[in-house]
Amino acid sequence: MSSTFQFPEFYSFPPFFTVQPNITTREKQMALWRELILSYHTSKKIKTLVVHDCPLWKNSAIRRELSHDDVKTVIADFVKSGHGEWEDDTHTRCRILWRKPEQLASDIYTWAETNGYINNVCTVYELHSGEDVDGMSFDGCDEELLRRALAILEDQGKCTMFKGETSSEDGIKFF
Amino acid sequence: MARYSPLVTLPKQTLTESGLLALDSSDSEVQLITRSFIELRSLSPIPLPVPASAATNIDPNTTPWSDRDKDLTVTVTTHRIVFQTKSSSHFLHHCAVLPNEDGVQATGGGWTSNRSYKIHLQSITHGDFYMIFRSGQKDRDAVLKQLSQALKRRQWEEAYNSSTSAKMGMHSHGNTQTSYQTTSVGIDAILKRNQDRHDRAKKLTQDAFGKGASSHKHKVSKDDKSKEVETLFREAKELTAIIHKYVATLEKDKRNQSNGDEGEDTTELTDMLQDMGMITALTKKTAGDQYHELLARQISDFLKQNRKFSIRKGGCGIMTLTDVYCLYNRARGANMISPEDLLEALGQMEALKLGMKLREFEDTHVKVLQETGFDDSVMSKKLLEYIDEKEKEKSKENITSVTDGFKAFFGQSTGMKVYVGVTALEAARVLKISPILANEQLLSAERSGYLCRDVTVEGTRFFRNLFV
Repeated sequence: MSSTFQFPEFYSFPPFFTVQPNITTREKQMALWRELILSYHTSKKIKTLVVHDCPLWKNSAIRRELSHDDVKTVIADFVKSGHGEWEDDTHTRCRILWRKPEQLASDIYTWAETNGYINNVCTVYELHSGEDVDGMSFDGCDEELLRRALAILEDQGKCTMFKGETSSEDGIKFF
Repeated sequence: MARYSPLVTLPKQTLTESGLLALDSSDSEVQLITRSFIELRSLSPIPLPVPASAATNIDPNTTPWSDRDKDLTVTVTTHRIVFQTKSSSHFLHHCAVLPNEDGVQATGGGWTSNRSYKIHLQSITHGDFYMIFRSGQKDRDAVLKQLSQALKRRQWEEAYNSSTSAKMGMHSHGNTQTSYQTTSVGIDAILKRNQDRHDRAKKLTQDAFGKGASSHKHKVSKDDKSKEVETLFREAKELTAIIHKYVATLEKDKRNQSNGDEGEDTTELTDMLQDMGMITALTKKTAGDQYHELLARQISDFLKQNRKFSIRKGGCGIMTLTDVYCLYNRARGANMISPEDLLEALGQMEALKLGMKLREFEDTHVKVLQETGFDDSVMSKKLLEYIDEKEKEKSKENITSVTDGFKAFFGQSTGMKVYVGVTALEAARVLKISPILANEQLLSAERSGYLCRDVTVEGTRFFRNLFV
């Protein structure tokens, strides 16, 4: 797993830590924040962002951090974009959707095609922690998210799911 | 469209850049009163001849003669009567008015016929005129009063005398004038001349301020205080001249004492006095309805002409109203204008096309005066240049002093650009404008996307907008 994350240059740009009053500027700024949150969590394989305990909000090198209100603005914008979901109603934990379910679904199907899983069966566990999925976008992915992607594939008629003994032993058959 | 009417037969009046009457300052001409909605009607039975110098595009044979000009603005100065339309200005010198009491007469105000209020003006050069006051008796009487006083005073003659004698290197004051063709030579002569100059200045000051005025050759009646003020007005010019002279002497003395630094103050004082030389103190009373317009023109002239207070100082073309108010009122010295009048006058500037206008900033509602050609983006670019320059320097310094924690956090150390930004105070210094204005410029640059901000407890700093 990659341990060093290369921060983009604007992370050391002080105005990045102040929500901009100019609308056009703010939109661009928010886009950069979304990108940063997503790439940080995907590359570090972190599934959940705890709002009050996220290292991203603070850049001690330039002694700047987002204010409490600005954090709220940034994370709300992130959730709104569809890359995050609140895990609770108090808005303290946010599930990071590394890929949106639709994208993940097509990623899984492409993987199944190239690795000869069509008309074959594999388990949910294999999908996020198996040997064959190393380096794939759903490697180490949240099970809940994975199931949602599979549900989409099922709707499209590209796979069926059946119950296993435990939930991670649930099986998938690709068509 | 050329009109052939009484107005064009009169000589042309020159105007300043902002459309104010160009008064003959060497002749100590002073503006006395201005009124508008005047009709000028020639009583001459035949068309007046077109003066040869003004024969621009009017051919008396083809252009029909109209004996009247309507909706004029009339200004009476100590030297002449000026008639103005929106586009042109012409004058009649007081010396062309019949010198006896028939020269100007009030008429009109009758019940049935001859109802409008008029001044019957008899000129030597252009025959008889009616000045008809559409605004009524009050204006007519005010103008008549000033006009007949000016005619009685015959200031132009005196000014002519003094200006000729001034050429001889002296400040004449009528019969006190002495000839310098004395036999004394060398130091003796210089000393005597100095003494003479001193005496004359003393006498002039006395004449101007009070007692002396009554015994003055202008036959000013003793108890009429307003007349004394008039005398003061008249003499004010010469007084300033004397002050100039003193300052010059002072400066010379200082320089002789070989201390160069001290001289600087006096030079500045001289400059100031010159810069502030307002020719006519415009008052509400003299200008009437036109007050704010004239004020606007005068302020515009003031800000354009003076080197020291120019609106372009520092190449900006923008000024806060506080600055305008202080500088202008300081130049007036006495008889100051109120903030309300200033605001009103500046508000008219754009319509008068004076090359500057009042502007209100969007969010903060700060009002400023700026040149019409003024462009915020020019300022923004200046700010950007400054920021880039500053950050370049800082980055150079920083490469050698990156902290370890920084290295660990970023996994890299050198070549990191440092962003420092600019505060309103710094911007004020760079743009050479007041901090309030600088702040407005920063906000405006932010609005148009050139800059972005970072707000910390230290305050707000502005940076080049790297987001867009």
